[in-house]
Amino acid sequence: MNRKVVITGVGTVSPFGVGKEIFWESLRAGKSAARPIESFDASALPVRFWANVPLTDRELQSKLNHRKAAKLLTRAGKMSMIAAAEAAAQSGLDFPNLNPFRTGVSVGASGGGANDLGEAPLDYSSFRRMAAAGYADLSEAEFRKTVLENTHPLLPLKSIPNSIAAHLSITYRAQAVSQTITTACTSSSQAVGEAFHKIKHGLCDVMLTGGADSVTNPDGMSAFSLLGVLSKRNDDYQTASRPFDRDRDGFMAGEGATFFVLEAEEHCKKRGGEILAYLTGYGCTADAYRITDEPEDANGAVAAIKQAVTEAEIAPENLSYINAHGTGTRMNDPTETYALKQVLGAAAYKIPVSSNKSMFGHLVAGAGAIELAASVLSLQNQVIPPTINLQNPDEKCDLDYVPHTARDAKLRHILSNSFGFGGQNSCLVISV
Amino acid sequence: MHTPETIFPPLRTIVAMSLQIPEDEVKSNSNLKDELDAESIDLLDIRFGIEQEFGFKFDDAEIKSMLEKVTKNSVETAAALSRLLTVKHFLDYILYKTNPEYYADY
Repeated sequence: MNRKVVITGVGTVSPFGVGKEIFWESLRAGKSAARPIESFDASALPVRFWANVPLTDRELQSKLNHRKAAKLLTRAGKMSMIAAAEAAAQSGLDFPNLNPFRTGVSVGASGGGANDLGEAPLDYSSFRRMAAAGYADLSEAEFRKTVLENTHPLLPLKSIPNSIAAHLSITYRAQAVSQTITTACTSSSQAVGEAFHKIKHGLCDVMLTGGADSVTNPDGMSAFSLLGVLSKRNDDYQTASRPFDRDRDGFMAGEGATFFVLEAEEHCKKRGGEILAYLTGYGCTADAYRITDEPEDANGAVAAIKQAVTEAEIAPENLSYINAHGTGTRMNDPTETYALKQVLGAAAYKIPVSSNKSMFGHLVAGAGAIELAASVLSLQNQVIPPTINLQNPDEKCDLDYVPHTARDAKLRHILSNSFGFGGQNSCLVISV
Repeated sequence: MHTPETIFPPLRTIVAMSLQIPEDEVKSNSNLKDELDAESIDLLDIRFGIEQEFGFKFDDAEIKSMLEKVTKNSVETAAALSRLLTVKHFLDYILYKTNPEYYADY
């Protein structure tokens, strides 16, 4: 079975705030969501800025429809419920009355959900509590017991990677499938791609899909700092994320959740739903090379792009615009550029490419979904958001990256790329 | 020194917060599962909240024997035990743990 698949709802909680209106306005204006870290004392850390979601946990909680669920949700989980509610409302679907065994959930999420709450057993407050109790000479046995007795019993339920999918499945009565894909920076792109295939091949009629991540916390910032992948441009943080620029020095950590309602075209038309875009192609490969290095010939990325374009049944040169992975690390940008040239040939120089990460940073497991949302909005508005902070192009990055300002364009087919630690590549094509 | 009057207000807050219901819906004789719609994990949450607020750890055997005494039934399973729980059972147990002398006369 080969059915057409449409997008009928989009919702996002982004570093610009709640909802797709402020998200799109900001992208179109070429704004940076970078801000100094204020929620904890980062003054002794190498990176002191990020693009977090500008709402406290309490503010996020107040926007939840099902407030009791809040105690089981991480920040990423709370943002997901808000974004999914926006997407579901836009679709106009009456979820409680859909056939539950034809409705599914597919979520891209990270594995370490608890750290984003500052509730991990060894957080600063636990440390202070133990120190205050005079536990300097605590034995390991006493230490382990103290940690156990002071950890909230529901913490393990917040930390399981499939927590978001489970809550969405319960809330939207989706019983066909409730799946979680955790493949680092490709997670949510892959989650959407797999949801697309569930509908295309006739297994489901409706899928709620997307992803979320929240690394804007002390542990997340420490982890990425240790790996040396974050920009350290603390003094000029608004221009720190500069994909494809000669002087780029890493990515900016972002945060957020983005969800879509995908639907079989026939299901949507029968109920008179509004089609925002068609999801037409998905390519997914692995480099099978090294954990973080990309192979010089980018063969995995090239194959994923080719698969996506082939499934969309278009010639590569018919792509109107490419929403790049474009992290701003030394390695990604020239390798992605090389991969695009391998697939597109001479046409690569004519097709605009831009990186949303220049504005809102890298949302890790949530990156593919938020960049697909930007692509859907690009298609609807016929506008390409810019790559900001691209002041001095790298000589190996010689394509049209739409620097500084958004551009009106005639858009028919958009490719959205995601590549991840571990060597996964996931590419999606949407069409008018 | 704790008495039923000093225990109830913070206990009511813990229960209401956990179940996300208004405090005035939490009565002394409310059955947690059947009336207040608590699920298994809510009981864990409430229990942790009590431990943090009143500074003791729950002992499952004690709770079981106390419930058997007050309900005059033998409680075979954990599920059966949790189904019987009312807010007052928690209050009695807190009183027993924090002020055993008062509990004996209570």
